[in-house]
Amino acid sequence: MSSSIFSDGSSKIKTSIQHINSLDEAKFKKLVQRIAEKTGRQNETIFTIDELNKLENAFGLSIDNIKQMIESIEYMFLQSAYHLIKPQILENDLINEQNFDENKAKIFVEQWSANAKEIVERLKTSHIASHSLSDIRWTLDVGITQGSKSKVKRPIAIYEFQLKNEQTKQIENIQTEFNKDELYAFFEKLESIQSQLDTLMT
Amino acid sequence: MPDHHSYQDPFYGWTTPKTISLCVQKLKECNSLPFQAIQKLISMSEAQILNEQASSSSSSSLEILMKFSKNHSISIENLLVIFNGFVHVLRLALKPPAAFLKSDIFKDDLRDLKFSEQIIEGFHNILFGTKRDQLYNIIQERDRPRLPFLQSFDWNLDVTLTTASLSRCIEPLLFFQFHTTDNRCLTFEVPIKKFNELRYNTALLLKEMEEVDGKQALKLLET
Repeated sequence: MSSSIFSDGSSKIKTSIQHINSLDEAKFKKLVQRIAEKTGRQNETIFTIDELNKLENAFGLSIDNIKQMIESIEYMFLQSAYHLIKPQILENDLINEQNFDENKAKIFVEQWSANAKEIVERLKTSHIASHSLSDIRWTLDVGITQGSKSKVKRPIAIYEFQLKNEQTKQIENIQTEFNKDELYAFFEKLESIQSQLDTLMT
Repeated sequence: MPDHHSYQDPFYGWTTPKTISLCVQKLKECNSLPFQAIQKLISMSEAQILNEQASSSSSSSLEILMKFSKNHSISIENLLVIFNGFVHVLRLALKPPAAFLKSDIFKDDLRDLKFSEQIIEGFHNILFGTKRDQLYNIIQERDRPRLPFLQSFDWNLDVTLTTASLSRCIEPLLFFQFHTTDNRCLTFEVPIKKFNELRYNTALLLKEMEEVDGKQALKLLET
């Protein structure tokens, strides 16, 4: 038990595994596929209430047991992602340590191999900062006349930064304007950030 | 030499603005005002345009006007009208593009307004003197509506090594902090994809800005 990556799972996992082992294989495959697609997405529930009811009928298990099962499978995906576990090791773990049925273990590992990249990608890019930049819009205007001066030719860049508040999902629009010199200075800063990124990535 | 009136409107517009005609009238009435005082008023009007926002200078210019009023026994209202007229002349002169204002034509126009030669000389020295570029710059940049702009822009490039969900991550993490002129301090994370978009768009904007000078429609605005 101590070498399994799921060793900090509770007894809930054990009962879920028993239910899993008793499931029909094709149904299990679809279930795992669906869970793999949704693992790692923030603030999204994997199955709606209606779908849970349908599953209840399909599997012949109570809703609580189904929920537990879904949670366990999701937990197993997350743990696999955490350790970036190789499929073969995962299979051994499931079969030997967690008493998974062999065929079910194969199905699980298959889904893991197929979806591992995406799940890890999703986990990597999940934000924990309070605000993040969700979109950038801009226009280039040219001022041609104003109250204090007739005849000017003044190009002005107007940026609209859209910041998304991670908790409330609200978008805040920040409008700023840049004249030519300011835009150059801004661009120079962006270039220095890019060169730092390049040295970091090599 | 053809009279410039046939091809160029006077700098003050088609008719004499009321402010200026009142100013000239008051000057005639208050001929007890020595030229030194007038000179001081002219330089104060230049200062008025340069430091519009600094409240300290406006209160001190009011004090100076009060002092003149006492010393030369002229009512403060008359002094204010004269001062206002001077500032107005300067503003109108600064309105057309710099190249349009020619020395002699400007002086001619001022003579048409019935200002004395000494005053004309004073105005001429201000507009073609040392502070010329500064005056034009302020009129163009300061006295127009502006959206907030970036006062400072700090950034942090971190690398995420491990998270609660991944034991080996190695993902760059970019944070920006904008201080804008409307006193907002915005700290936010920038995903690397968005950063690339931002960089691309900024380069595109800069290229478009350079091309503005070449656009046919805007060639009409050549000064």
